[in-house]
Amino acid sequence: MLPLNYSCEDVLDKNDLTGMASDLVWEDEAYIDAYVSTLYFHLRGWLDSYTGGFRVMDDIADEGRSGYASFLPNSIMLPGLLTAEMDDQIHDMHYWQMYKEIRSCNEFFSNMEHSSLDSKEIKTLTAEVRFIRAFHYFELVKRYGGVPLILIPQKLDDPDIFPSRNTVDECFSFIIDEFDQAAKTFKEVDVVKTNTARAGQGAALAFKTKALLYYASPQFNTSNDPQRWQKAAEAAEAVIDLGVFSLDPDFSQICRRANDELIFKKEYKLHSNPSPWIKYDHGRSTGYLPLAHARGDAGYSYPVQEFVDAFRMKNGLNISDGASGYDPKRPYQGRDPRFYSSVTYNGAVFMGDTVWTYVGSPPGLWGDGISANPFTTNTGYFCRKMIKEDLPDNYWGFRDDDTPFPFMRYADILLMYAEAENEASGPNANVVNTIQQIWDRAGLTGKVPSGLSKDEMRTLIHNERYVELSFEEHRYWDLRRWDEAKTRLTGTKFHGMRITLDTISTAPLVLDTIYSKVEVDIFVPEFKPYMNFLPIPYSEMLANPNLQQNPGW
Amino acid sequence: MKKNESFTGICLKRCYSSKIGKVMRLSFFLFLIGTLNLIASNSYSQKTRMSLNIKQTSVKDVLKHIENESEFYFLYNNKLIDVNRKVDLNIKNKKIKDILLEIFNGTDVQFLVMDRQIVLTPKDIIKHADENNSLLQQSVTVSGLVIDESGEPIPGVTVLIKGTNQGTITTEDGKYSLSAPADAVLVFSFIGMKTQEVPIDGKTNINVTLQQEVIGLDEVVTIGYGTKKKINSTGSISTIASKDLAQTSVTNLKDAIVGQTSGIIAVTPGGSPGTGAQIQIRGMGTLQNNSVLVLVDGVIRDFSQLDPNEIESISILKDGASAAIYGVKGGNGVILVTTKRGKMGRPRFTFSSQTSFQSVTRYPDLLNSYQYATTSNQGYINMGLDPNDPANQGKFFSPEEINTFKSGEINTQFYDLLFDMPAIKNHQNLSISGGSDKIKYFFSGGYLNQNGLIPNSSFTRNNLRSNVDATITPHFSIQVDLDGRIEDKDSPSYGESTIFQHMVRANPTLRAYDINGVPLYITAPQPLEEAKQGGVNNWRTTVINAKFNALLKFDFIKALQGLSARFTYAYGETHINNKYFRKPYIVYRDDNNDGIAEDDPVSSGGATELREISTMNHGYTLDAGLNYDRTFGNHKVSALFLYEQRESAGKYLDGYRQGFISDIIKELFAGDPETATNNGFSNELGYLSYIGRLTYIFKDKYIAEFSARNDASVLFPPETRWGFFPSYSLGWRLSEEGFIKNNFDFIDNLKIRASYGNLGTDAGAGQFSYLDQYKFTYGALINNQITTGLTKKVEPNKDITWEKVSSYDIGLEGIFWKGLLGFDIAYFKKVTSDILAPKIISTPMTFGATLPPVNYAEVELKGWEFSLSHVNTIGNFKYSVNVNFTKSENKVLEIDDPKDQLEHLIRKGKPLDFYVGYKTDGLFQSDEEAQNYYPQFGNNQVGAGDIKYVDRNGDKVIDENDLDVISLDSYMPKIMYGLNFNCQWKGFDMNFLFQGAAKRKIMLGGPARVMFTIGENNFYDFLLDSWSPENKGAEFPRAWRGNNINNDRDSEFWLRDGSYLRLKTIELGYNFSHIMKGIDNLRLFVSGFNVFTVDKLKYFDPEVGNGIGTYNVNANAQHNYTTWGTYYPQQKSFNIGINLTF
Repeated sequence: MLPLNYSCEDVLDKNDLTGMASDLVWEDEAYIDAYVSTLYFHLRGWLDSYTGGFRVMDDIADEGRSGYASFLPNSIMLPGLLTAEMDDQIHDMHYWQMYKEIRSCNEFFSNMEHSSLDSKEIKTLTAEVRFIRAFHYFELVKRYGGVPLILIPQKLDDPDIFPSRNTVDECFSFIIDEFDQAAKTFKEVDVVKTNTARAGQGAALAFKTKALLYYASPQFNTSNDPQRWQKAAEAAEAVIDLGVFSLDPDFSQICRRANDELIFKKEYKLHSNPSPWIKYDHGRSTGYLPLAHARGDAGYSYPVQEFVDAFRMKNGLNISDGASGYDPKRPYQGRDPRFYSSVTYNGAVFMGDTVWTYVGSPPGLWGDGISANPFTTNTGYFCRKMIKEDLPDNYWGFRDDDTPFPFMRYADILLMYAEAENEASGPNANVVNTIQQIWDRAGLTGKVPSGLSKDEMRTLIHNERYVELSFEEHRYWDLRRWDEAKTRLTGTKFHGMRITLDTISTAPLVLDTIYSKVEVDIFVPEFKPYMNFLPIPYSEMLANPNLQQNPGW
Repeated sequence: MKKNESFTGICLKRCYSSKIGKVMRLSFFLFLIGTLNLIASNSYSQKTRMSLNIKQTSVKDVLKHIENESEFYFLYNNKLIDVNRKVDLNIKNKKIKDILLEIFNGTDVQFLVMDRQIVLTPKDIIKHADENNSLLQQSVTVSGLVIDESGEPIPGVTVLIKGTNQGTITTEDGKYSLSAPADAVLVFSFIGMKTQEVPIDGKTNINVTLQQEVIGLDEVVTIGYGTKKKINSTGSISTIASKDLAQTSVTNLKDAIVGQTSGIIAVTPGGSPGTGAQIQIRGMGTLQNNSVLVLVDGVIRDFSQLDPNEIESISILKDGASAAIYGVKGGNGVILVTTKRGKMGRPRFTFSSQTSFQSVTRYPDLLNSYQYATTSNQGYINMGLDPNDPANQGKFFSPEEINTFKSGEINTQFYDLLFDMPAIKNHQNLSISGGSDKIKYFFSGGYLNQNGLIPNSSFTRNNLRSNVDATITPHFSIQVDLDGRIEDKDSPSYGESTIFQHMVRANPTLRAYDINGVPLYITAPQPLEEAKQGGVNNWRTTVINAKFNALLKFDFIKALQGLSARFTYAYGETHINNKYFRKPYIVYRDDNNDGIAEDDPVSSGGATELREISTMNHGYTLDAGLNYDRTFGNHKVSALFLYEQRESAGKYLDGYRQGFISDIIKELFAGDPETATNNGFSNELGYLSYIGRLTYIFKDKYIAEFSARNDASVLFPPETRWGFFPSYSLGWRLSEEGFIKNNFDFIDNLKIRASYGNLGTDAGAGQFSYLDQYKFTYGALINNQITTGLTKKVEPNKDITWEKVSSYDIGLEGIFWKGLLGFDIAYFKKVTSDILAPKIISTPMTFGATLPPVNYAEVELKGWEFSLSHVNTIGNFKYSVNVNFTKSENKVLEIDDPKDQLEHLIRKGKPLDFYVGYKTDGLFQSDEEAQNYYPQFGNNQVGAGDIKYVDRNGDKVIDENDLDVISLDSYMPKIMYGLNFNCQWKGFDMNFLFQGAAKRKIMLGGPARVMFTIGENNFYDFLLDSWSPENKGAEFPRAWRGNNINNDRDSEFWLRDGSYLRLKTIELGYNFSHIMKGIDNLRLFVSGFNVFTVDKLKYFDPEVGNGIGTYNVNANAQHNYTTWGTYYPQQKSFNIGINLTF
């Protein structure tokens, strides 16, 4: 026991047993692969503890509402009370911290320069990291506008650690180039489409399309340059022309099974290991299940009436169209089939149970009408989109779901194509046919009307994105991109459906269902034009005097 | 124990307990053992021959020399014997008796040689019964035992027949026997003890307990690597005696030292079984790690779970110079714990037992169902909702419902359901001690069992200690100490604070149990069933420590007199096995008609799971060195040189499974193998140090000390890992100067001291943050397979080095009127520079890396403290009072405030913690007042009964720009004080301790300021004093549902004074020993803990910690709302107990 034979140097010859030295990592393909795997893991999916909680944007636009009166996005962002100082309270503003991931990508490139490895696998990994870095930069530009483009891992004593912002043009040009370059490498190594959560040529081209589409949209295309729409349309066509993606025949299954529709996704695991608390299982059901199945946590994304009304009738006509067959006394009959897999409503069967949300329905189970209880619905609806309904008996309630997060699916490519093509060339047959593909898959029996004006077609496409891509965190960004948030999300409280039963006769008992729209927002929504860009977190403004805040904040 | 110079001095009483550190050192030259095989015999004094050749040396030094050269030791009273007389001696090979005859030739000194023990007395005192029977007529033979307050026998006590100079001296086991007239009075006297007179009254057996004369002059304090007389110390050192620790009823020793002495800043934020206070010495002086270095018997170890009955004393080294000898980690102060050791004498059994009845000190009530419903309705009305609008029907409670609640038919109060009071705590300890001059032993075993306030919450501890001292040869002695303990802590698997949070949250309008006691579903977690059904999280901690200590004195070589070598090797191992077994609990849906909806169970909490975590840490400390201690006339010199190395290693291993079919077998193998996972890692650390200290004392008047330490820590790169930390201190005992001695005879001691010390710490260094390292982590899920991930740990800082502390201390201490007044006043200042912290605030997030700690910040801590004592005896009534006070304030001198930082967020020049919020101007008394005032936070719903904020910047708008510093105080008090009173009267004894804190602020938060958080939650009922037109003088804003964006903001409105004064302990005892034969001590006592409190907080226990919500500006400047008042409540207890010694 007596270590008398120890010399002094042995005592001080200690190492970090929990880590591995840098030089070991970058000469080993397996380690590099693990490094890239973590980069994927850190992509922001459904609810991730790493990336800071709920995806809030579905609940502050015109899709859904949280049941929590004090839920900050509801009480701060919706009424337009957000300030730059609140960066520690609104999860999405933390997106700036994704510079961590950008640095990790930069470390990769910097270290790979000195690595002796150069195989097909390494080339693939390099393209993946290039894709991930561009992906993060796109997400940053989407939120903040031009951001500092940092392409090397900075050192602590480097004066460049206080960068200025690059322009929007510089950022988009960089992002598009990077996606292009990644796509080129993927093509070289023949990784076009992957059935896993990894990127390939398809994903790179798809996100290039998305970046071009944003760049063409009014939020960024302030000079209204039509060339940009043209480029976006071409990029979308390039994805379509790959010929490897297609729509899943069943809309309700888009994220529920392997298909050729998901171009890029983040996977989740049911009943995950090593621990329920960890990372892989904060899936779609988290916080979105009706109380009866939520087991302790619920209260997010109760769809608003405006969203419900956006669904056409199955015949393709708007409910406002007199010929549509819409019956306000039977509002849930004969609707776009996507409605039934997106929204759980009074009388719907969900997970084997009939859901009642009428006033006076058994309390505590689904909702006793529109309730203040955050665990029951405050709009009369529950979100059903992509929620796993075949959960095992012993599931972890709010933590357990293997629905992947769809970063990009083929339907989005088609809609982007239609939108860009309509803007660039007008509502031609290509546009109509593309939308028709979406309708056909959705199960609408009607035909997309031809002969619409460009503006009418634009409205149709915008609405199509609303219902097709709902609750996948597109809508808030789309409204900003179109510069429509300032009108759509301002001045009017959004509604829910209050359903009461009225006794028509007592013997025999005949009840009538009465539907009345009620306001659900406590605050009047307000979206000021400057809110098209999020503020750079105030703490970042302090730390870096070279940054310029977005105007208005 | 071998003879020892202190036996000859004036501190006969203290030495055998307190000088252990010095005596028990073993040379690392272990090979020498073989050459020192001196054989002791029973006729030592007859056989031993010595030679002496000295000139003009005091008798005292001659005796000391003889002690050093032989195994003899002398007992004498230096007030009766003139030992300063100078003698010349030239003796060759003579027996001790002949030597002494020559020394004391012509004096009135007599001596009695009892083998190795030699007692010196004035002539005619020693009259042994067998020799002197003839001298006295009608005399009786009286014998007995003299012991001290702790029951230890005292050798060398002078027993005189009053009015004569006849008497005797007690033997080494404290016994005496003499003949005296039957009506005589015996006078027992001993240095350092109160003289006692006892009439014989015909008795033949008189046992006496001598009380210590508490004037403190002979007090010995434990210092780094040794002990020292307090009067010779140049640092600020406080000592807490065993007595004051054993009397408290605390589980965790940290709680026992709060309030006992100056210099301790502490809060006790909760009452979970087994946990204790957060302690800082003189306050916070650095950013991140303010933890105090604790050493038990010289080895870095935790002391909080030792049995108080094992502890002899606790020394607190407060100033930098005293702590500097622990350079590497002593920057935040040092606590030295000394355990008890055996004493010479017969075996002595001490048994103590205590039972405590614990209950909550103070916890605010929650709303009942009626209050909940009516307040909820009012909240909606205040939010502008019309109760008559059918659209709002679901939100309002109906009049029928409210009537049901009013009748009490449904009123769920989990506070009542959950708390199981009084919770019982039991504590027993048995110790055996004793020894001969060769071997001394102290064995102690303790058992403690504390029940918590809620189901499945408890703490059990078994302590065992064996301290053995062996004198191998007269020059060589060793100590072997073994101690171990097993702690067993249970808490509900859902977590104590979670359950308290759920308790506070639970909606009282929902039935929790039906008439048959079946638990019902309450739409939220059900705290009682969580605690009862949900499984247990158990921590079993096993600690085994062993220490070997050897001391070799070189006194047998003349040239090396005063030199000794010491060697210590201490090994410690801690194993924590954490077994977390959690299962879903089942509740049933209320079908509202008294039947049981058993067919409708709701299971909560997911799968049954077991995680078992095994953490093993072991390490050793080895030190070896030389000690020199010698007096040359008026010059006392001592020196210490030590080499020290420490290594430690840890291992972590965990295993996990889900899917247990039954919860009968709570072992991993019984779970579903498909769900099995495991994890593990190790770590290792090492330190090297060279330590030196020089002390010089001239005429017991001028004291100078220099110490230095050179430390290396593996947490720093080789180029920067060595740190050199010198310290200097001076003392001047004014009381030894003629002008004081001759003019102010009431001054027994008066000393000025000053010190300056340098220390360092690596506490903020992180783990190897100078290395460029990667770690495995989570990888993505690819094709439903979890992949391994890898990520960079931290951006390396290759220049990382020690955090440095410069510490100044000036003090004045004195003892006047033989203890009627004792005082110690100190001013201190500490500057911590090169503080290690990541520059999070000033580094842009675009940098992207996990930031390493870098040496840059600077914090100043300064303050002053005093303690006053008063000890007196009036007849049979003896009492002492001790008052202590500490004030400590810190200030940030250098920090990474960004260039354009907002005024109120700038930290430079401010304390480490402060509150930022809005200044307020009461509540709006009418809607018009609110509407005519400036807009507040762009919110158009502000009305009567809402908080009115002050427009700090004058821009006529209330927004974030009006934020300001609203208090420079924090939850950590800036002032702490205590008052300790002890008294004895005949068999009775009583003591109490008041403890208080001031300059402390607490911010209310969560359910202490928001009604119905997330729409559903209950809250504390003091908020019901809410504004309404009928209650305009209300303390709180109008009722609201959920967070009110106007009112729910940190502001002066919610800031409360956290000062308090509380009667921490009070104890009353009675000792039966004087009326019971054959028992040294039999004492029964009752006591109370946290008996009453005076404070301004009113709602919570004022010691509530950082839990209610505070703006804690630490390195990452985050809002720090933690548990929102849903903490484990502090407890008070009523205790009864017994102490028995025989």
